[in-house]
Amino acid sequence: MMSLSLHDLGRRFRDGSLAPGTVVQGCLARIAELDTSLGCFFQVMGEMAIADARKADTDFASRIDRGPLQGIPFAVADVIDVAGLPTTCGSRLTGNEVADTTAPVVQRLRDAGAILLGKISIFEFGVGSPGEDSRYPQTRNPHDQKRAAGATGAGAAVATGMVPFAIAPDTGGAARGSAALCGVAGLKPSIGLVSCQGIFPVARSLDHCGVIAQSAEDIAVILPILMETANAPPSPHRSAPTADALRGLKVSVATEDSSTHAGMKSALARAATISADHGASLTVVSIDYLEQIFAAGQIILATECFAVHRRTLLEHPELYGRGTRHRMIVGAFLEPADYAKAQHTAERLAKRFDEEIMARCDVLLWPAANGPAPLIEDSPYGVAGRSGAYTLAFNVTGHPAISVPCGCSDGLPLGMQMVGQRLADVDLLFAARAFADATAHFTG
Amino acid sequence: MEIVVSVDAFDPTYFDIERLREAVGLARQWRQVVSQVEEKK
Repeated sequence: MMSLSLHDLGRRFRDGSLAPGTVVQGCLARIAELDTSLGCFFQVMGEMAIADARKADTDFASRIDRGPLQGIPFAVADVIDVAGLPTTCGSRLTGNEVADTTAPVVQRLRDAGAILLGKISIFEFGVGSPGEDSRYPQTRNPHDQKRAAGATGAGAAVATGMVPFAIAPDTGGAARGSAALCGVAGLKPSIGLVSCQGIFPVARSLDHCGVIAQSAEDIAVILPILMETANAPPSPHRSAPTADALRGLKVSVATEDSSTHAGMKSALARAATISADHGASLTVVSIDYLEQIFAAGQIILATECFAVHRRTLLEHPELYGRGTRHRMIVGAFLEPADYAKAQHTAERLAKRFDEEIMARCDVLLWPAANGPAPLIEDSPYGVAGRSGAYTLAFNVTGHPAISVPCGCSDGLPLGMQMVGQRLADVDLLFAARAFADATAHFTG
Repeated sequence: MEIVVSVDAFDPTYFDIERLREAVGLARQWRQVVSQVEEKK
């Protein structure tokens, strides 16, 4: 039951062979079984979810149909407001202050009949570095509990069937990274496509609202419900794609830098070959300015994040975790002129990336993370370092990017990004679904 | 551009000097990379 696609869950709800209440109980049982050791959830709203599921059961029995997410449980990272519930941001600083309003992205899901199951873990304020003094323990990777699961527990929760999908912010790659390390799919939509209102900011210029689910197919069901109508591109009805849909697709694969993990290099090359074998036209490109986009993005992120926390960080550093305060403090060493120059550079390089790369392809293939999940004891502490090295660039350029499983290294999942043209998120998901079909029997 | 904030400005009870120096180094590195783009214009 926990591995059913959203489409199959909806079909079974409608033919009466499965009830939302049963799925919610199944999720709660998985959480009870696994979450003590994995630490994906900050809060589980079991009673509320059971009550909502009962209502969904009644609605289905009465033939009231709110669409494809009716009766489907979901979770949100705990930087996203839900009226009546605390938004802890994973921090001791926030206490248990209850939100007055609900983020539009959550409201859209609830209006569509989806059932909020709980609030998922996230690094302190979305940027911290967990340590012994963190409010919550670090989420552990379900494939190897000695390893990290990314900046949010969303990927681990979805990978283990605790919840079918989750919403989490993605400012430098949190949603995509979590998905990549845990072997599921994670989308950062085009900039502006999904509202970030009601989500505690990390860096406003780069903040996006991400979606994590079992597959690109599931995300294709969720995304249209999240999209801001004014920004929404046309969403043509399409039947489920097979690998044949790769035929004629223009795929570019970027040559990786020398520090790319060997297993990741092989997986990316294999993905490119599989795409070509199914009829995609393949071009190898070199984007030697991605490092410069990354640097500009880091300056923007550090400066904006520091601006949000400056007063409390300097007056009450003891209220932040040790790792978090050292990550945030980088912004103190940057000047307004650095920020202005970084914004100018980001704008110029994003335009160049559009003209030189994305104008000539439908999809760009690129790593989502540098290899499999690192050991928690090896995870960087303090300053940001190379965090988001493969993902932050697309928060800067605003292009949609999805992390999809692309094989394994030493039994651990690897994630590859597929980057699409701006506001062509629906087309990107279509291509990702076709790629998933082409690699359905591929175990890495 | 020179850094005008000194690592000594922060309370060592809460901020490790080594981590602060790393932060200064990162800021400098990012600034240099971005400046290279400007120079290539």
